[in-house]
Amino acid sequence: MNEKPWLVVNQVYKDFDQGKIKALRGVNLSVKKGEFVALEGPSGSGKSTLLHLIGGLEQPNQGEIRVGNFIVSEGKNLDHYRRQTVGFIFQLHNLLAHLNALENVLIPTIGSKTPLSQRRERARQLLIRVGLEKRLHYRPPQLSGGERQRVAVARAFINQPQLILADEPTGALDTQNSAAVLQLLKELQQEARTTIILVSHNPAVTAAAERKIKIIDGRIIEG
Amino acid sequence: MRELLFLALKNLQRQKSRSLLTILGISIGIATIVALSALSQGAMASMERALQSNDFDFIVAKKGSADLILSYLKPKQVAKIKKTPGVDAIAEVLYWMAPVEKNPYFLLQGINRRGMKLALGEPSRGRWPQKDDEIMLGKLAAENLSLEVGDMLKIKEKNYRIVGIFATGVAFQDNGAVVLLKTAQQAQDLTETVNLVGVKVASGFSVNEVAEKIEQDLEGEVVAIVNLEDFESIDQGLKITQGFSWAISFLAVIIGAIGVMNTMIMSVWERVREIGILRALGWSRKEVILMILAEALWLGIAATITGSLLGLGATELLMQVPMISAFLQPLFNLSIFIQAAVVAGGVTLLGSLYPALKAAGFSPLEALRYE
Ligand SMILES: Nc1ncnc2c1ncn2[C@@H]1O[C@H](COP(=O)(O)OP(=O)(O)OP(=O)(O)O)[C@@H](O)[C@H]1O
Ligand SMILES: [Mg+2]
Repeated sequence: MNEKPWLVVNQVYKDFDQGKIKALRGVNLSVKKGEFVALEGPSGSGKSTLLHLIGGLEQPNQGEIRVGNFIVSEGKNLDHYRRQTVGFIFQLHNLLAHLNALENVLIPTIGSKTPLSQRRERARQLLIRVGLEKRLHYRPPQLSGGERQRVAVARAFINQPQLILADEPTGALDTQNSAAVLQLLKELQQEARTTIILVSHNPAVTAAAERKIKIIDGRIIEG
Repeated sequence: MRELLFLALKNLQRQKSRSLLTILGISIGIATIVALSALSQGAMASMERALQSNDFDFIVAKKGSADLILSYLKPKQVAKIKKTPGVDAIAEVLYWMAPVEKNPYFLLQGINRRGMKLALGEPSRGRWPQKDDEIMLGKLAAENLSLEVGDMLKIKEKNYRIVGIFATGVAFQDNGAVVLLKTAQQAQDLTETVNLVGVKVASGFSVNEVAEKIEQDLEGEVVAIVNLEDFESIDQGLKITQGFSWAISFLAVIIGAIGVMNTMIMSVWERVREIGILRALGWSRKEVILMILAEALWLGIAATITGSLLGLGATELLMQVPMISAFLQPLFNLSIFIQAAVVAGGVTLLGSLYPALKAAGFSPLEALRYE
């Protein structure tokens, strides 16, 4: 069963500081729809940079990035792409401290044409799904680190994204919470056939993925 | 948009005291505008009423006088006015300020006996003064002093018998009193002088033509005030007051805008990271701008309400001073509050436009890296 790749990174280069720092040096990567890929590599090897380029948060100096039919590297309509296609999960939960869990999950839906009641219900279901049915109206400072990261997972999934980009999502969590978040990610991925690219240098975390990709010095060494 | 407004409200609630202080800052400006507009509209309305309360077709005053009370007409001029063809009847008026009980600026009008009906209409009780020691009180003055027809009133060591009470609906008149012209002239050592002459034009004559004729015949020494615009053109006090209130309002608006800008810039810089998160989650620049502007909108709405209430309160307080309330009644109408809302909205939008554009300019990644 050789499906054609859904996400393609083709000869991508990314420099910083006017070329003094070469973060990515010709990255090629193909990911199938619904695949769970782990990106590993030493610190400074370019993992986050690659994730940002795929998520349309930054533009490559050279090369092409395509997700589905959308050419991310053209740099157009990125807001819409980030909102509709991508769900980000960061190492730090990056929730808004003055909003409760439910409101935080709803943030990426603001401006959507779907009625608020429907979106609220979906946010509630997602929070229940991540085990926070008793924490819907808690604000981040009232939640534990693991609970916060689970809110962030729910937020990443709210717009039914086709692609989840997770940068060290368990980096700030203990082993137990870490395993719980990973388990959730896996389940949600399988339910909706979501593609996941997860960055981590923790082997226990990358073990959860279907495929591991190693990146060293801005180049990919398939594992 | 509803959710953006809700979020904006939540954002403002985070820094409660700062938001409240900003609202207070704008409110003071709004209150100033509300109070000054109400007072100047009240002044205009009472002047309009003053011009309409009598049967005059126009009044004649000395040209170039800064205020009617400083206009002096001589008997020769009065006689000329009276003889002008088309003039049916005239009333000669001399103002007289004298201390009465607690009010040091009680306003009396000396009017010639034949002019009284023309100037004031029929008395509501009693009759017009006919003798030197008779006086007719305005309705409000009678109420304030608790005096009735038949009572005595002492002004500058002289006793006057109250023979009538009148009501014109004009605050400064109804808070004052009327005596014979001669009485007012003698009391002020201004024999032969009047401040103004009210003219009634005979039927069949054009008011404007008669007014022009008088101005010509008196060789530019007098002006005929036919309507409120004419009045404004001679009343320097009104012009100065209006200019003054414009200047104060303008200053208040500028200070308000700077306050908003300061608040919003601070709050935007504190939220570089947060705004970056929103952008990473797919918010467009436009949505970020709208969120900041929505915050400004809330500030503007709150400032309109508190500013209007403050303005109402301030004028109410001012009206507790009898000396002021006798001359000036504020006039509140919808347009004042609409003006307040427009100014508050304008000020907050103006002040938040730059911060909003600034926030929209943050790149999501830079913002996410920002600590
Ligand atoms: N905005 C930037 N300006 C300058 N250099 C940058 C910038 N972003 C990344 N770099 C550099 O690019 C290289 C790759 O960084 P990147 O963040 O992708 O590494 P990483 O693999 O995610 O590392 P870590 O595991 O520590 O998160 C590093 O040398 C880093 O210093
Ligand atoms: Mg990284």
